Amino acid sequence: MEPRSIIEEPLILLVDDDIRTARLLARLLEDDGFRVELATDGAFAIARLARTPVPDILVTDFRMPHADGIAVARFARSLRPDLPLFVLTGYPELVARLGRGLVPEAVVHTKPVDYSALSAELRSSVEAVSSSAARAQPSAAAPGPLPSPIPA
Amino acid sequence: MIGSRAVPAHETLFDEIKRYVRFEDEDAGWLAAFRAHAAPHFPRIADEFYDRIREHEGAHEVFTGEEQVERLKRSLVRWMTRICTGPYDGAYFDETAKIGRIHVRVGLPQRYMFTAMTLIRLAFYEIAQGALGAEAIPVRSAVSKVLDLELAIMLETYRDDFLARTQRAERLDREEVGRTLARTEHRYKSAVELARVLVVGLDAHAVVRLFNREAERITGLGREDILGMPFVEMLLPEEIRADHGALVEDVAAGRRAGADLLESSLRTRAGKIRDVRWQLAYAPSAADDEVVLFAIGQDTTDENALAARVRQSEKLAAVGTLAAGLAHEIRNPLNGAQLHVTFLERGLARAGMNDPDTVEAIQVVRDEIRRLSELVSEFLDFARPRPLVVKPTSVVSLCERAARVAMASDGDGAGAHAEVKVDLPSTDMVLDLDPARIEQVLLNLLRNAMEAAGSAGGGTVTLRARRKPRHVLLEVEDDGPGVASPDAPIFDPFYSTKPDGTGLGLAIAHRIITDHDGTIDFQSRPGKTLFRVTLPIRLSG
Repeated sequence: MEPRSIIEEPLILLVDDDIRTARLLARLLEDDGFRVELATDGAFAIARLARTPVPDILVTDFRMPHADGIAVARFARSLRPDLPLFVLTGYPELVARLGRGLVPEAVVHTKPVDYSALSAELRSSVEAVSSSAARAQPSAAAPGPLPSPIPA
Repeated sequence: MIGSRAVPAHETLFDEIKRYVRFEDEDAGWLAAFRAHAAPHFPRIADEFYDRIREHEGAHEVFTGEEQVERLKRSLVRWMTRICTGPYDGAYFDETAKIGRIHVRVGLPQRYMFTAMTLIRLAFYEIAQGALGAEAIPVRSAVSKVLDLELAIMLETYRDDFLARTQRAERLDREEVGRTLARTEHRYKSAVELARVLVVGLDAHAVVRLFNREAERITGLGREDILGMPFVEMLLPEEIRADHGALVEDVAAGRRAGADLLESSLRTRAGKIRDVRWQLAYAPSAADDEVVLFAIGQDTTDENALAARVRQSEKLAAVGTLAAGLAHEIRNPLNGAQLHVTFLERGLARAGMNDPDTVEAIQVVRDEIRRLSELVSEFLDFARPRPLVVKPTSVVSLCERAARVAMASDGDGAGAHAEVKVDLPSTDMVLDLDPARIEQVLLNLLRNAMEAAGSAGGGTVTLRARRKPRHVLLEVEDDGPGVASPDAPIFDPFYSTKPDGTGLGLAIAHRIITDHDGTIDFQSRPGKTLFRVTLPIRLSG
């Protein structure tokens, strides 16, 4: 791994109830220089998001027990309005419809996911956010108003 | 004393009512005497008379203007003079009757005639009282009589008018009945002639005796061709003569109770077969050449074709709903497989393993996953189509683009090197359609055609567009070997003749065209296969 001077390795929260596949994806991402935390359903994901540190990227499945990927995404955005969102799904049209109103838009990848394309996009998304955050103000990660969980 | 008088043998109406009120010569004398005093008051009475009328809308309505009122006042003065002067003869009666008829003509309600008379009566009494003292009593009596005579005569004219009106109404009624009968007959004829159903009448020998315009239109046979000819030989296709022909002949002859409904067909003059749903009505008759069997038919040829299309759509919808959920779920294991392949590739690369067989094996798995994934996407596209995004679209540029794209992607397929020609009209046609989806249809058709034409090596594919009065016709023609079996359900999902086809291309095309309210069909023989798409031209505004 090449040295990444000032910025710490970006933290991905990966949410997927298909544990075997999720672990493998986490491993591939770690190989590519990300830190990955895994949540195996929507409720775990929301519980994890309520704690710090807030992840740099949310990568989530759509159909999961307790809370779907869009609900998790909206919750995450209530904590960090510019959080990069990636939804990996077998239902891209449905996700696009439900995810309307998310600004910036969630990036939707249709399963089976092209891993190298995904990895590249994840990398560029954190770079885009950190550079714009650096330009804006140092306290970009300050929590917003008390978030209310959105039912699935 | 007033006494009784003999009733004359021939008495006029006027004489009779004069006798009733006992209007005598001395009454005439009293009136003449009264007139000498009253005449100067007549203009004033006339003014008051018409002022009073104006207070009542129903009476006032009959006036047309001031000028007329002034004229009427002068008439009233003349009338007052006349009733005081006489002579009370036939001419007098006619004159009063004339006034009455004018009242009738202008539509003066009778009640105003009566009430207005009271005004005259009171005015005259007042004058008599003032001017004549003791003589007022016989004058009043004479005035009373003459005014009642006036009323009686005028009422007669109302009665005459009523009778005349009744007679006129009766005459009109009679004329109306006559006209109605004629109209009814005309309507029945028109109903038979103009109805959009075939009406055929057969006599007991199943000879055609009645053949309406729609029957002429559908069969292409004129009445002069068909009347007097045997129905079965003239109109039934040979295959059904034994069956339906015998049935019709038996029903016409009264040998068999008629089946009410008969799904049959007709052979037209041009030899085409039209499906007809007949409704048979048997009405026995003694006369030999009388129509006994009425056959009311509906041309169901197009209806049947439509029903077939509807069945196809319904089938697709059912398949779609059932399988769409499954297709979505296939994506999850595919995702797992694909990520594991990626992992495997990396592991091998890291371990420095580059055995070509292993590398190829991994590539095969990757390709298979991709193929499956494409199939799922294509299937979902078919099963859960997105709503059309319709906009005015140039058909010519759409065709040009589709041809370009098809040619550019040529070469993927094995040995597909067909030439694509476009044959487009010089005048563009702009239709409301979903350009992306129609392009998809054209691409599907073009790629099929190119594969078919190219299979023999270097065939030709033609994309043609034509404007018809009510639709635009798009055709894709190839000179390949043709569809193996023309009856094959090629628009059904998963029907495919190609080893690596998904069997969805034409099903999707069918779906998209149907969604556009268009039609798609094909003709095929070795050397010429033609897919024909029609898209309706909507005349908006």
